[in-house]
Amino acid sequence: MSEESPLAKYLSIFPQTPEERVLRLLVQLGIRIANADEGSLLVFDETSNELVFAMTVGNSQSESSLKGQRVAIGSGITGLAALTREVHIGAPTFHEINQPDNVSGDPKSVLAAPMLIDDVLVGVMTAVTFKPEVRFGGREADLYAGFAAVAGVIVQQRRRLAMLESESDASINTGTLSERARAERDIFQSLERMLRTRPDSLTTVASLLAGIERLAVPGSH
Amino acid sequence: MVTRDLNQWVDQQLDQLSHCELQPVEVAVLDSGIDATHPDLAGKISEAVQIELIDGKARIVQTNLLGNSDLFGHGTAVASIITRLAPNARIVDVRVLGTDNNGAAAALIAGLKFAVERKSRIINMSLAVKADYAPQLWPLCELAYRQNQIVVAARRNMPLADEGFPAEFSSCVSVDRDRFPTPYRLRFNLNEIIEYTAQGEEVIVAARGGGYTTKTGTSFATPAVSGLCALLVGAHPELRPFEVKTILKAFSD
Repeated sequence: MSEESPLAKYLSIFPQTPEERVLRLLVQLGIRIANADEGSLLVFDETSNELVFAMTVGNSQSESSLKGQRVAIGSGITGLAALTREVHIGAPTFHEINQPDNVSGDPKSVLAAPMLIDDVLVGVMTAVTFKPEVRFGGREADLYAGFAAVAGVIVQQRRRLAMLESESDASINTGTLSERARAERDIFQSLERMLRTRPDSLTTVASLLAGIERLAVPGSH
Repeated sequence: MVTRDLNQWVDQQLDQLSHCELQPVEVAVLDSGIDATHPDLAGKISEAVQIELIDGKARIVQTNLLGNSDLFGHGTAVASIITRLAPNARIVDVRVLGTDNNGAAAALIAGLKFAVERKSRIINMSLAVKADYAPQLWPLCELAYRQNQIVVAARRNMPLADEGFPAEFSSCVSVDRDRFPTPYRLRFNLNEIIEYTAQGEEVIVAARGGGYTTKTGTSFATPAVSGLCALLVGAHPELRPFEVKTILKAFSD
């Protein structure tokens, strides 16, 4: 059985769906207009506070090697874009203010724009160039800000649709999971992820759950 | 022709200002920290703190004044633009941006409160938060204005419902970016919420860890205005915030 894609796992956007194709199209358009070599879409994993590469366009080798890779929120231009909810551009570093003695390696320029739903982070779109003559500027920043905003709306619409479908499923009782069952499943999956990735936080979670139980079951304390 | 002559005159005036005797001016930089080991910034940092959030409560923690407290290079870039323009600027490094994705707005508000309470003459905010936090930011910006402090704030780069806060407050000097040949060039945006546009495209800045890089964004246009404010206040310490705004407008295209 193949592993669930990051896009499906974190944003509920499954392969071969119109939403997945539109997101890929946005990344493709971005790299074409910005004259970039590669573009990626990373999704935000709230549990681990990391970004996960979900798709890369421009280089199939990069796509296979990057997909599933994680980037800490406190790391690099991509992490900064996620943290500040702003578009950021990274450029090479030089020893001297006027000399082109590049001290940093590839890529030559990186652009990162956060995908937001009402200021809540859902992912980051990036563009990368390895060409020394290409430098991302304000035009590309505005372009990616717009694309990331559109991508955010697509994710939001997908979530709304999923919610409607869930309500509809529950009302006609087709045997699929009701909204409550989905919520319970999500809670169990979150707990499972925390067990795997952040076992140190379980004490806090346990006391939170005990607090909720006391609220839900009067007289239990 | 007239515009070019005026621009030359403004450049000359501001350039002369940077070479005359200036009073030191404290500029609080609310950002990701500053690399004080960079040659452009060595000796320019007068205090360094970071905002720590513990159970939602902010705590001010002193950090190494001579070290590198910058996590991303953003604050180092911002501070280098200010010190390059205003040699009289004494930077207070207020690190409000950590690695925690939650609580960034709370840290920013706590950082602003710290800078207002210590009465830093100029407060550079190359960061913006959404309108939800406006009720907490507004009284701090009003207090700063009454205390003769100048809050210089960046417009958001993302096309969202608002331009970002505190940039939208009239008590602040708000800044957008454009491609200008010098950091002395400003544009006044008549009837716009964001009042000034400054050089914010491909600006050469100090890089964290040494060397130089180029940056683009409203984050890097904002310190150009803070630097100009530091020059003006250094030459004329009696200036009130509205007078500084008026002079900036007179210098603008």
